[in-house]
Amino acid sequence: MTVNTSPAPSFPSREDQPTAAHSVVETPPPALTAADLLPRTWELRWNAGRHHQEAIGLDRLVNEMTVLERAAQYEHLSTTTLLDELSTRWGLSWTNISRLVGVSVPAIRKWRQGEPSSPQNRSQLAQVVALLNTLDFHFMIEDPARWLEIPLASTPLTLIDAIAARRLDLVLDYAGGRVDLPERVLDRWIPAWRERYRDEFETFVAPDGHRGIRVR
Amino acid sequence: MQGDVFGSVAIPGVDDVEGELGIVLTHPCSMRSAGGHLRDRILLARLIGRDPIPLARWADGFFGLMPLPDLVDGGPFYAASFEHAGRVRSVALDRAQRIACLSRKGILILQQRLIFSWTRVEVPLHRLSSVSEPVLEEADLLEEWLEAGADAGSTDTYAEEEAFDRFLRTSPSGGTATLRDRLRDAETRADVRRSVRRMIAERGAA
Repeated sequence: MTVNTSPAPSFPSREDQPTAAHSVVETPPPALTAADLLPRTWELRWNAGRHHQEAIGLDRLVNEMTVLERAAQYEHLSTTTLLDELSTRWGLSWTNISRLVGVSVPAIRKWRQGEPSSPQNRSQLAQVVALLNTLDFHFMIEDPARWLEIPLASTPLTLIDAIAARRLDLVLDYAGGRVDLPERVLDRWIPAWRERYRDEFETFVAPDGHRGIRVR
Repeated sequence: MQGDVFGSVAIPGVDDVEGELGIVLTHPCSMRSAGGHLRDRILLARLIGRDPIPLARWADGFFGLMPLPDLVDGGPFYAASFEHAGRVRSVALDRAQRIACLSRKGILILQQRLIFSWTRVEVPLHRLSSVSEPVLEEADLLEEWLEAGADAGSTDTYAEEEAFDRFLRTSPSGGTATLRDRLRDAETRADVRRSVRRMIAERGAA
């Protein structure tokens, strides 16, 4: 058998005790109804939506300014240096360079051979170089030229086509992950793309190793 | 290249229409043989001067023709006539006589009209593009290769074509896919261009 030898706990006398919280009679707050909460909910939602839109707008502005600020750094480079950057470093085709700059392939050929380009065209070239560098360094896209040339959602359309159609905003949104799928890029760019590129043909590799076209 | 227009070209079997301009009809896939050399003979069609065909009517008819507006400054409206075609020896085609070439879209429209004229099958341009893209890319790279060779003083086009063909048959990084195989894939095409251009620079520096 064990005996508890510790002293019994002592309690302060009633006079020493402060007024206990439980002894204060509380008035219960008035019960809120859904109708009471609704305006505040709307207000929060509206503010959140507005901030979200502002954030998207600001993000787009920052992305476009990043490209333009980089372009300003490249504008002092010669036309041949800019072309060399696009062709040798990034691996773009002359056809795609001409489309991105908005001039003909023969015009690009003349520049390669040393003929001068207009300041406006050189500025355009600098912007293309800046875009590729931005995709690489800012958006961490490995091999931006390849990324720009990949057909979107099994259509013949690429991001180069989007840039040529003056939809750089879509390309930057896609690069930044704001548009997550190539189908979404097409939805925003050409809403009827599914109908436009639906056909009864398919491409296959013929026995001679070249591609061919046949009915599905 | 398909769609190139040459002046002063005689087309065998085509003596019932006047003219001296001809356009290449042979598909880029069939234009070169082993070693990357132009085939001995390629198909050309005669260009005829005629009344202009408004753009809005291209899709409605004239399917035996490929309209070529503004081909010659101050000249008549020209159209390639598919039925007036014949095989021309490739050595007879002088580069100095090449007066025009078609854009990529132009080549695809030529193919589309040719197919419809001969088979009555309408193939969408994007399908034709997916088939022609790799060979057009290869043709562009060959042109760069030949130009760089000429700039470096090479006059042997035949040897340059063979060197280019040999290079495209190599496999980078010990893989099994050759550079030509990789050119067929949009995902690896930029990489092939970089490889070819690096090789062009190395050959120029040697």
